Amino acid sequence: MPASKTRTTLLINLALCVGLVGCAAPRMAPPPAPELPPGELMRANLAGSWERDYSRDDDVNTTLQRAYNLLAKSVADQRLGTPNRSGMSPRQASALVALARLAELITRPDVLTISQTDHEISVSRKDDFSMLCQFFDTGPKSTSSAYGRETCGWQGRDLVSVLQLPEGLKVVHQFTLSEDEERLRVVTTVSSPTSPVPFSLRRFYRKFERLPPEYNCIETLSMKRVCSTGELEL
Amino acid sequence: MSSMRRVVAVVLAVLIPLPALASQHQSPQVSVSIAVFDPAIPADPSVYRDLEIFPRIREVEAMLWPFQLRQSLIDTRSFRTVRVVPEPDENAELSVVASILQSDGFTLRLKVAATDALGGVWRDHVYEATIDKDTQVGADFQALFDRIADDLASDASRLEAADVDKLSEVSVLRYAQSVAPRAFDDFLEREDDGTISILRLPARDDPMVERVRMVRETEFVISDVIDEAFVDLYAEISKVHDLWREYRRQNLVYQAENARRAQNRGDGNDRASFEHLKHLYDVYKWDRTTVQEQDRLAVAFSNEVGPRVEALEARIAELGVWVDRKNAEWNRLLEALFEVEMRPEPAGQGAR
Repeated sequence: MPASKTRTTLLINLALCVGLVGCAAPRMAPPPAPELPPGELMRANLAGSWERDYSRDDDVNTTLQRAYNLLAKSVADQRLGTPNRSGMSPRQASALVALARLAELITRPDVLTISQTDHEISVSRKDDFSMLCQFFDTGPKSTSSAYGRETCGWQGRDLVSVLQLPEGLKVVHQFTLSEDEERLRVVTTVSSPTSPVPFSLRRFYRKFERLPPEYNCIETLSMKRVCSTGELEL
Repeated sequence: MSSMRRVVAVVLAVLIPLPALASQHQSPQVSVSIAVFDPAIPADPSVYRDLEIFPRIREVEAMLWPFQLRQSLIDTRSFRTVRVVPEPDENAELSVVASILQSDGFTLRLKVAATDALGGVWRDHVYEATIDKDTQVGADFQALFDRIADDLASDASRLEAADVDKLSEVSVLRYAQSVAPRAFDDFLEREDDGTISILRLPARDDPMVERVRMVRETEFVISDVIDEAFVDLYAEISKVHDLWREYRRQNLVYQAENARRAQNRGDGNDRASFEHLKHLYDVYKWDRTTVQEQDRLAVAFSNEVGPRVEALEARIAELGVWVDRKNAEWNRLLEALFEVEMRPEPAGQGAR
């Protein structure tokens, strides 16, 4: 790849990344990472039920429009400097739309149920698989199969989940807990080699308490769900 | 009889009820102890998901599978008694131990070792069976256990009556060494290769051997109580275990279906299209959902059988403590008795 093209791509990427991440700039400033004792596996407690705060969410169309505008500006700038260089092709534009649609689809659940133990964080979402983050003394443990690889890690107190799918498709979720631990911001970034730029969407959640169940229930194999108002005895 | 001897005799008489299990057979046959299988759960929990190992279920399977093997062994009519015991019994006439290498509903792979009281290794093989999805759960791996049983029966059929008697005798002596080491220390010797050589044999009707035999029979009674508890557990949870394996198989079918759907990623879609990207995401989603459904079922299984298994484990531990305490007591009594019997008698009285 010629150096000038590489530079151009990088500039476009940079402009968009600045633009997109800029749109996703934190409205809730992440608190400074606390001092952690050595070997601390969990840096924040995300456990609980979280419901969407639609009033604060990014609007997909607006975000996409902004991405286009930034790209168009970047392309125009590039054309001034290097007139022979073309900007984003219709194909790439359509690829960006595809990423946006996928990001919108993935971030559709209105409730997240997060359970957390000393070694594991599981994020349950309606109509989707549960994101799984496992941390052992040896470090984070990836979940992989022939169809993808899920890896988690901490950036300060932010939990970052990276899902690497075939053909370079990548889905990254960054979970940021507010200082009072009542609000959660999830930035989802979808990227693919088919698009010159990634696409990010922010979703905001508020913690809520589920009503205590009227019955004690457990799952069994032969009797399915078994419930009782008193203590359960199988 | 000295007063000390009288006390010991009375205590032994009180302690030892005598169900003579070992003398019930007609033709000489060996008795078999099958230890609860080794679940072979890796120490590193981070590999469980990759290896699709559900530790609690493996532990339960390690308790259930020995019963299928026991039934197969009984069906061969080649063995005198066949017991399932919580721990490998080195003193058994024939001790069978097995590790579960793989158990996923379709494939069962066991490493089986059968060693006799003389340290002779009858079998040390990996047995494996894979069944197809139409095979009925419940009877699915019976053929594998029948194969193990047939192999052991074939080995047993080559024994002469004298060999069986020798195994029986050595088995008792090995047990005797564990409960009264001072009295039986110089009867057997373990060779470098693990086999046992007989240095000398006790006199026919040796009273110490008879006492050890009686103590052992008592221990067999305890073993049989534990064995019965296992049988009850088997009866209670084997249906749930069958159900689990049915679900597990269904999951494997789903996984195959996921693989087939993943193959169809082309579908003529443009690789940059939303449909294609969604397909890539969905394939992963289906796979994870299948795995997570299996995890949910594993939890459901543990919820259902957990209390029963824990109750059994508590009962075994209780009996184990009782046996250990009694063994220590018998050990003390037998050693004391040995000392009394070996003490020179006053002139005019017989010695051992």
